[in-house]
Formats: sequence, C-alpha cells, structure tokens
Amino acid sequence: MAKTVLIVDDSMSLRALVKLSLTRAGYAVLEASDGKDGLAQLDKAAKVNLIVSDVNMPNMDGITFVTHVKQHARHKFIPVIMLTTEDEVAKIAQAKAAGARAWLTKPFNPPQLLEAVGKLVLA
Amino acid sequence: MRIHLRWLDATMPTLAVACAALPLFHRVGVLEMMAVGGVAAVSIWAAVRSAHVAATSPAASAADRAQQAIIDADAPLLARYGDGLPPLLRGILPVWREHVESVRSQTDTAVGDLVVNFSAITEQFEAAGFKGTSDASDTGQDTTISLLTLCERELQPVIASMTRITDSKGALAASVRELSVITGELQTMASEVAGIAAQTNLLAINAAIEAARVGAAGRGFAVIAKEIRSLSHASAKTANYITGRMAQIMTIMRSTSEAATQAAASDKSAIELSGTVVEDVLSHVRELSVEAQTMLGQGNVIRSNIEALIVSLQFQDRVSQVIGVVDKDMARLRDTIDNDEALPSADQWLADLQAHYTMKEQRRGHGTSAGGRAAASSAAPAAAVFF
Repeated sequence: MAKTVLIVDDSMSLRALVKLSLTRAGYAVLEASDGKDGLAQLDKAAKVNLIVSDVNMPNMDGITFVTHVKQHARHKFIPVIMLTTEDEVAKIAQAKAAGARAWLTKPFNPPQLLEAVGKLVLA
Repeated sequence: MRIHLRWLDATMPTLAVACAALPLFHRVGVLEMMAVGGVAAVSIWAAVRSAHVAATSPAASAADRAQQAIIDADAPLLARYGDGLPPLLRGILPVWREHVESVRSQTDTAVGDLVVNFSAITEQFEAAGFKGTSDASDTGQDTTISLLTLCERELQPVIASMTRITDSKGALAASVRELSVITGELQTMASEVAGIAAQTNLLAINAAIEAARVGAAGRGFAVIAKEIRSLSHASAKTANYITGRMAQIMTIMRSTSEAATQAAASDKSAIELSGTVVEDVLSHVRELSVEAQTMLGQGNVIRSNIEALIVSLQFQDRVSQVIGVVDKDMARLRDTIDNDEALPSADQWLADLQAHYTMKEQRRGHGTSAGGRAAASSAAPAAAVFF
C-alpha cells in the first residue's frame, strides 16, 4: 500500500510540483493550503506517513503547525520536513525545536526531496 | 514633504530592484504582467523625483536653477507638491496592491495548471514506455529487458537440442546401414553352409556306392553314409531356411535404413527451418531489446528534464515571496498614511522591510541600487538538513 504524504503550502503551484515529484515515486498525496488546513486534513485522514510543510503561510505558519502536530496524541509521531524559501538559521533552529525532522530549502531538487522523504517516511 | 521625498528616495530603489528581477523569472507569457504594479510605483516616484532633480541638476538652465532657488527659498517641497502626495498614494496604493495580487494569483494558478497538464503528459510518456530507472514503482522497463534476455537465453538451447536430435537420428540410420552389411555377410555364410551340405550329400552318396560295392563288409559303412546324407539334407534345409530369413531381414533392413535416412533428412530440413525461424525470432528479440534499452535511456533523459523543469517552475514560489513582501510594504505605507502617522526614517522603514525577507536574493537586492540585477540571480537546490 502506498505511503501517504501531506503537503502543506499556500502556493498551489508549489503543491502541484511536490505532488508531481511524490506521485511519480509511488506516494499518495494529500494537500493543505496552510497550517490550519493541514491540521484539519490530519484529523480527516486515515493515516499520514509524513508531512512536507512550508514555513511562511497565512492563517497558521509552518512552525506553529509543527508545534500543534507534535502536541497531538495521534499525530505526534508523524515526521515533518520543512520545505521553504526561508534560509535564516534562527528559523531552522525554531523548526528543530518545534519537532521538525529535516529542513529543505526551495527550490527543491526532486531526488533530494525523495531521498529525504524516503529516509523519514513512517512504515 | 521633504521627509516623504527622502523616504521615497530610499525605498523606491528597493522596489525597483524587485521589479527589475521579475521579468528575469518569466518563462511563461502571463508573467509579463509581473512588474506592472511595481513599475508603476517606480515610474511615479521617478516622475516626482525627476521634477526636483531636473531643476537642480548642473544641466538645468540658469533660468531653471534660478526658478528652483526661488522655490527652495520661498516654498519648500511641501508647498511645491502641496498635500497631494498622501491622497495620491492613498488612492493608488490599493490599485497597485490589486494588480500585484492579481499577478501573484494568476501566475500561481497558471503554473499550477501547467504542472497538472505537464504531469498528464509525463504519465502518457511513461505509459508509452519512456520510463527512467530510479522510480520506486518503476520496474516495467527492466522487466521487459529481462524478459527479452530470457527469451534469447531460453531459445538458444532449443536450437542446440533440436540439432542434437537430428545428429542422433543420422547415427541411427548409419547403424541400421551397418547392420544391413553384417546381415548380408551372414546371408553369404548361410549360402556357403548350404553349399557344404550339398557337397557332404555328394560325398555320402559316393560312400554309399562304395559300401555297396564291397558287399556285406561295407554294410555298416553304408548305414553311416545314409545318416551323413540325412544330416547333409537337414543342414542344407536349415541353411536354405536361414538364407531365406536373411533375405527377408535384408529387405526389412533396407527399407528401415531408407526410412531412417529419409526421416533424418526431413528432420534435418525441418530443424534447419525451425532454426531459421528461431533465429529470426531472436533477431527481433534483440532488436526489441535494443529498442527497450534506447527507450530506457530516453526515459532517463526525460526524467532528468522533468526534474530540471520542476526546479525551474519553482520560480513562481520565489517570485510570490518577493511580491508578497512588496505588497505588505505597500499596505504598510497605505496604513501609515490612512492613520495619519508620522513616517519613520527611511533607514527605519527599510530595516522593518528587511525583517520580512526570507531569501538571500531579497537581502542581496536590498543592498543594491535601483536597476540592479542582484535580486534576479536564481537559487540552486541545496541538500536537506536532518535534525
């Protein structure tokens, strides 16, 4: 059965690009347009094996989103990869403290994304 | 008003850098609109600025300079532009923001649609067999090549096996022929035995005649001669019987040999024909294998092109970040004017603006003069950092 990845990003085109990369590699994909939508999608989904989240988003940013995920009893074990244009060391430290497992800077290279996803995806 | 002008002098170059960067990102027609809002802002600023600069530049006429001196002396910039600039900005800033948001939204949708269509084209390519090798789910091409290799490996021994069968049938025909020769020899020997029996019979007759001639003394010998004649008759009869059977065997052997030779010949031609067919099949299999390898190679080229395209298409996200920050800054200016707040110093404003940057390009652009291209340099993918 295909592993499911939740993509959280306010850019529709970026979500489409991540989805294209992941579906070609055999992953099932769910999409959310911001952190708030991401939490709603997690609650609705039967199982999510990994989250790929942007940092700068309206309504709820990526760091806050990860913090909520890690506080949730059912979702806290889902690994999170931050995928963002942000390259501030302080932001990276915040993401790590919030519980993210990896940081990937946009523009992403599909093989690098797939390698990171493959390393962290939950069985 | 002087503060306004100094503030615009300081901030508009940054906006100009962002706008100058936008066309460099464009790879699709819709992005021609990208710089509309920002260019308009810069144009208005430039018009306002040039009015002031023209009057004070060394190239200006003496009359202009005199006029400017009068303006500077008698009426500061506030008087020159009146209180028109804040209402102007209040009026046009929302329109600029609308344009900027429209551009951002349109490009995001257009690139999203582009990716969806591109994804469909990619799937069709892959369905046609142009698949690379590194997909987690992609084993079809390898399987095809393995099957073709297996075909060749399995069919080659079939030909060898069929050739061996032909050879063994030929050997059988040769053995039958050899047996036929030996049978012929046996038939000759049987004829010779019949000849010996005939001569023995003659000897026995002669012995009987001689025994009769000597009278009673030869009576015993006559009995022996009679028995010998009986034996020679029996020998002759058996020899004739053997010769007859040998003749039958020879006939059967000859027809068997002919049948075996004929069967071997027809088997050979059938196997040769089969071998030719199998070779033809193998030749097609090899061609298919080469084509499959070529398609695999082309699939890999397509794969790497797709990956490069995925990286390139992310320009929209980066452009969106740049536009988003400019848009928020225009909103901040509009709010400041709406709330009738005092404008901070240009340095303070720029510091606040810089706090919202997320990318190196924005930071580089911030430190570049108007018209510079530092913001246009595109970022390269970086390796993931694991925690």
